Parts: sequence; C-alpha cells; structure tokens
Amino acid sequence: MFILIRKSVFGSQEEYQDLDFDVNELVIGNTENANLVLDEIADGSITLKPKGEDKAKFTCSNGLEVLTQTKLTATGTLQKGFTYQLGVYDIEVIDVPAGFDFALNISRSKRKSLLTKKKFKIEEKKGKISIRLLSYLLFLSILVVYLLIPYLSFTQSGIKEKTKNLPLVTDKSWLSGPMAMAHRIPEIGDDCQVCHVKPFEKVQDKQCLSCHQNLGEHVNSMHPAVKEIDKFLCENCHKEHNEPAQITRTDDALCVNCHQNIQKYETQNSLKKNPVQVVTGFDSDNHPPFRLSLIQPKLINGAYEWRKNRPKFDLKVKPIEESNLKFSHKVHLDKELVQDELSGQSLVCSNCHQLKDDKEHFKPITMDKDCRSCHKLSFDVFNPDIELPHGNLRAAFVMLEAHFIREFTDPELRKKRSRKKIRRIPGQHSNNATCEGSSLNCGREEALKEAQFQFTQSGCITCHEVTTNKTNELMDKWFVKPIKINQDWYSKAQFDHVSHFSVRNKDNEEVCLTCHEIENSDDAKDIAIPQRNKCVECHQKGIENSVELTCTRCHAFHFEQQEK
Amino acid sequence: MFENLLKYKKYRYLSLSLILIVSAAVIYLTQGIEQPANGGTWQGYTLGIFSAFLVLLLTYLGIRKRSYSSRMGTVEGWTSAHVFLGTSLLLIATLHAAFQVGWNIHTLAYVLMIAVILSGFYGLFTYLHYPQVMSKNNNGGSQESWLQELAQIDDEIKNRSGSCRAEIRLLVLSAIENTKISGGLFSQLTRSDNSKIKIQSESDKYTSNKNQERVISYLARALPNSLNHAEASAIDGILSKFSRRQRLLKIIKRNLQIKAYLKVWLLFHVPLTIALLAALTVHILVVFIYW
Repeated sequence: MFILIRKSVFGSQEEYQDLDFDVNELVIGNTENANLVLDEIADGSITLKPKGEDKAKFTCSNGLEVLTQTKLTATGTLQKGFTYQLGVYDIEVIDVPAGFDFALNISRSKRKSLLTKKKFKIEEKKGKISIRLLSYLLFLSILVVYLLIPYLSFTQSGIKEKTKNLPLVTDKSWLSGPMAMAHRIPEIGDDCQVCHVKPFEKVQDKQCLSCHQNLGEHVNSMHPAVKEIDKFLCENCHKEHNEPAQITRTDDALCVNCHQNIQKYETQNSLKKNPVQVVTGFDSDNHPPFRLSLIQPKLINGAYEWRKNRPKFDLKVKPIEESNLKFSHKVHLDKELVQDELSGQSLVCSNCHQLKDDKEHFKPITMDKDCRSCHKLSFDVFNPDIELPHGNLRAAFVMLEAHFIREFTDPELRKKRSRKKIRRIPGQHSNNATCEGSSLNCGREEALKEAQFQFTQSGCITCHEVTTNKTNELMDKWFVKPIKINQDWYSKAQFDHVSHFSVRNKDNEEVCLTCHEIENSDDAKDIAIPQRNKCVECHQKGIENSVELTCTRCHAFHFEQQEK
Repeated sequence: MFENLLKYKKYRYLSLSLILIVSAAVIYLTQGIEQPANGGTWQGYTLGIFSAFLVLLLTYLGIRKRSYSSRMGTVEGWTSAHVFLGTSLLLIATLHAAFQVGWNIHTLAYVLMIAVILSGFYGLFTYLHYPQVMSKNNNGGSQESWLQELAQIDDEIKNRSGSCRAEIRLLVLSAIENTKISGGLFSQLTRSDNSKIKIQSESDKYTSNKNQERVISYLARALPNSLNHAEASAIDGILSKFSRRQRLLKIIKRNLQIKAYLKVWLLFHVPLTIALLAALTVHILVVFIYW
C-alpha cells in the first residue's frame, strides 16, 4: 500500500515536503520502529491502518493521545474532512494523488488554546463522577429500599415471610415516633400490621378492642337517648407515636367539643327527663354544680336495698346522708370529750378515715377497726370483758340469753356473781347479781332487760337506728337498721387526696377540715363533701396563681362497666 | 453579582423568609394543647405541606435557570429566593418535625434536607468568596491567557532545544509532554501534580516532575557541562522558560482549584436534592399508608 505524507516544513504553512511509504501500517512518532519521526513528540507513536481512501484506524502508544473534535483518545478513526491533533501537530486525511492508496497532511497545529486545554486535560473535566447518574442512583435507591420493599412485604405476606431474615429495611422505618410503653408488648412487637391493617386507612376501633376488651364505655351507645357517640373512634382521643409518649389527649377540647353543645348528642326525650349540663371548662361559670352520688335505703318487701341516686343540684334542698348511722363529728373531735387512746390528744380525721391506695377513696369504717376500741359491746357489769357480737342481731340475742342462763344455772357462778360488789357506772345498766327464780327464767329475764337497755337507752341505740315491734319475743322485738356509709360521693369524678395534702403551713388535719367542714356537725346526716365553690377557690380559671384544671384531671372518659 | 443576589429588590426574599419563619413559629407554638407538638397535628401538617412546597419551589431553580426563554421571573430573583427560602426551610421543616428524630425515613428526609441546605450554604460562600480569590490569583490575566502563554513557552522551549544535544532535547520534550495540570476532581481540589519526566540517561522509567523541579534541577546541573557555547546559551534560555512555566502552572492550578471549589458542592447539592425528593415522596406516602 502506497501512503503519501505531506508534511509542512517547520515554521511554514506554505512549504511542505512529500514523503511516500510502501507499508500496510504507518508508524509516526518518536519510537524506534517509527516510519516517520516527529521531533516534537517526546515519547510514543501513532500507528495508522488505512481503511480505504477516506479513513484510517489509529492506535497510540506510550501514553500518546489524539485530540479529536471532542476528546483525547488513544484509539479511533481518522476521517477525511476533519482535523486531528497529535501533540503540536495537526493531521488531516487528504485527497489521494494518483499512484497512492492513502494520503495524510501533517502540519503545525493552529488550535493553540484548544490544544493547550485538551492537552493538559483541564477545564471542563469534572472527574469520573456524573452528578446526574449519582442523582438517579440515590433517587431509585431510596424509593426501592424505603418504599418498594417495605410496601411489598406489607401487602404480600409471602414476600414478608421470605425477607424477614434478610438485612432489609422494613416498615419499621416508617415509624413516625416511638410507641407508647403500654404497647411495647410481645403481641405487637415490630409488627405494624397488628394495628395498621389496611393501607391508607386509619386504625379502626376493632384493632384497639381486640386487646382492650373490657373497656367501660363513656355512655351506653345503644341507649336510645344517645346519638352519634358511636361515630367517635378510639383514634380521635388516643394518639400513638407521640414524642414524648402521650397516648391520651388531655385537653379540654376532648370533652368540651361535645359537651358545650351536648343537646346535639341527646334525643329530645332525654333532654326533658334528665338533661346533661352544658360544660365549657372548669370554673364557677362554665361548669355546672357537682351532683352528689348518694346511696339511699329502700325497704322493699321487708328487705333493705341500697340504691344509688344522683339528684340534681338544688340550692333549696339540702342533701342528707341516709346511712342509718348515728354519729357526731363534733363530739369526736372535741378534745375534752374524746382523746386518742395512745397519745391522749384529740382525735384526728385519719384515726378513722384511712386512705385507700387509689388516693381518692377511704377504707370502709367498721366497728371492729374504728369504734370498738372505745365503744366496747360489754353488756354484763359482772363480766365486762364479754362483748356482744356486732353486725348480727340474732347472734347478739342468742348470746345474751345463753350468757345469763348460764350465769344463773351454775351454782358456782351464782355464788361468785352474788359476792361481787359492782359500782354503778353512769349510763350503763346495772345487771342483777342474784335471782330467785329458775335459771332459765332468770337468764331470759335478765337478757330481756339488757336488750331493752341496749336498744332503747344506751348501747346499740347509741349508734344505730332501732325500731321496736309490738311483741315480747326477744328475737323479734327490735330491729337494727343496717348501716351503709357512702364510699364514693362523686362517682363520675376522680380526686387525688394525697396531692391536696401538700399545703404550706397546714397539717393534714387542717387541710381536711379546710374542705370538709365537719367539725361542728352533730348529725351523721350532714354531708361535708365540698361543692364546686370550694374547688374554684384554688382552681378558678383566669385567676392569678390559680391552678387551672382540664376536664381529664377530674373526669375519665371510660366508666367502669357497672357505671354504664 | 452575588452580593446583588442577596440584596435583590431591597432584600425582598430576606423579608419574605423572615415573615415565613415568624409565621411558622407562631403556628408551631399553638401546638401542645391536644397532644405534644408533632408532624401529625393540624399545625404539623400545615408546616409540613409548606415545607414540601418550599422544597419543590427551591428545586425548580434547577429547571428555571436552564429555561432561557422563561418569563417567570429573573434567574437572579429565583436564586435570591432560593438562598433565603432555603434558609427559612431549615427552620420551618424543623418545626414541622417538632425537633423529633429517629432511625426512620422521616428523619432521613430531614437529614437529607439539612445536608442539601448546608451544602448550599457552602456553595453560597464559594460564590461570595472565591471569585475575589481567583481575581487576585490572576492579577489581571486570565486562565486562557496563562494557557496561551504556556503553549507559547512550550513552543519556545522546543525551538531552543533544537540547539541542544539529543539527551537534553528529549528531556525537555518529555517534561512538556508529560506535564499534568489537572486530572480528576480530587486532583484539582488538592492541586496535586502528577507531572512526570523520562530521563533517558538515568532510567527508562518515568519519574515525578512535580512543580517542574526535576527538569529544572537536571537542566541546572547540565548547564555547566554544555558541549559548547550555543548549547549553554540554549540551556540557559530553556531554564528561564521552565522557571516561568513553573510559575504559570501554579497560577493555572490554583485557578483550577478555585473552579473546583466553585463546583464541588454541586456534586453534593444536586444528588442530595434528588435524594431528598425521593425521601420526601416516601415520607408523605408512608404517613398515609400507616395513617
């Protein structure tokens, strides 16, 4: 193959010399095998392999590169009509003169600035990292890792099962906040679908109720007087994944949103009969007076029943406690009359009223626990240590008869009894020391006398309401009305006694009497449960240094089952 | 230009951003009554919707600045808004998240947004700071003029080397041909010099010619050993040209380094923005998937 090289004379664009080669491959450069040596190429060479008259493939060695129209490259094709740059030289494929198969023109390059930029590989080179490619990769990675895989494992149980042991991002990464402590249980674990059953749907009540099965309702949603309560979801008030964890709303709006317009949720009939009061907050203007929860005795078919009643507040009607107990707080708090057995000081509230663990209610008052230490049920002055049983009328009668019959039957006991000289104690019945009749008659006679005294003068009748029947039969003559002391004065509210004891410069006793004004009460019918006006002294809204109360501080939404 | 960008239309977008920040703070502070402040309250949703809108608006700058025929505001205005609204987004999105973070997609979106904004701050700094540094470095010249002078010097060196013996001639040609100014982004940022030289009298392998020190050192040693006066004169001339070449290369490399500084933040800013768009999409979707 005959190849013509037309090389410009150094420093001149017009003068040139023609060089011809009879080779299949032409090597140009500064290597030992070069057909044509170019001085200004320090190292390396370019090997040209003509492909027809118009183009030739080239390969460079020793790091030499050809500058094409767009890039520097060590391999490629020279094409006719374009100028290629090799070092300081321009190379062009030119028209082939007669007698040659291929022709090239080599001259000093005219593209100095371009040459310089490309030659030194500078300017626009941004490195091998493509911003666009990197962007696409990041975009897709995030979509796949954080959306596609968790979503597929959410919707396709098979995928979830297969991938559960793989180190993949799960739907746990969708968690918008930590779960409340109460929900961190093995039954839930990391399985979001225990609650989130259907995508794009809020958590339904049935998911909550699958665990919270015995939850008391706010009101009976099936009651005909109640409207729309079943429209409210658990989710309306209970918000999961809060930080800090607070699963239940405690703001006033939780209650007030409905109760400020409560008529909307009641039927007309219920409005007339027993309307629920409108509430917009807690203060003397926006909260209705408190309704006491009373228990009232009812005699039905000869049997006592205690019924709950929440009478509407009425300034004109003073509520009374109907416990059937006779009791004077005034007497018991008078130091001159009653002292504590151990300290000798006057009694304090906590001597009898002991708080339960719920901090709201008190342990029931009982004879044995709270009264008997002072009020012994002894009935025979000759045997003061023997006491009547309490709370069982028939047993008391039996005991009275049995005791006195025995006293007058046994000759030894009769002797002892007759020898004893008992000083008469004021307010106490003086039992007979001797009796001339039969032991049965004497015993029964003495028992009747003692019972008469206990139920009509002093003893049982001191604390109990007693009715007398027109009969001489001991067992049927008197009836002691049962006692039931109210344990929950505000059944629709809750109260923390302990937190209220912390009052500066006041001991617990003073604090009790600040709210429960009972020290001058002479009658157990008196109710000393504070009303709204007492609470707002400290909790009135909008007053400086007042502790404002939200609804949920005193009221719970879910009532106990029996309170429905 | 970039100072004007901040002062655009008498701080129009600075004012707008301040109004947005104050409004967002007021909205945020109304939370905490029904439940703790978080992205799921109506206030949280409001701040979230606004943050998402801002992200899209800020991202649109990338499209707007390429839309030369667009009449939707000036690029300068868009860029000014980009800077100030982007800064306000930092606070508005933080209030939307209510300062809550965790190992989840929501925080990933937030962290990406922070990274994008911080890289933007760096970009703003480079645009405000480095043009002056480059101007000082060029001292009245330009990168183009330095490159042309470099090419001219290379030609002169080659011309003068014609009077030298082959050993010297090949040496200087090797030094010129194997001068590496740029390289990858990292090389540009660190101004690393991978220039090499082959000294055939010593070895067939290439050795480092960092800062042209090796060739200058060789020529300095060769000068007293010149074959004749013509060669000594030529080597002396070549030596002074390499000295100038060394200075030019430093200026050019510093220019390239500054240009790299001006561009490198985009390597983070743009991909992280696109990643943020993906994370934001997932964030919004999963909130409603697990409503």
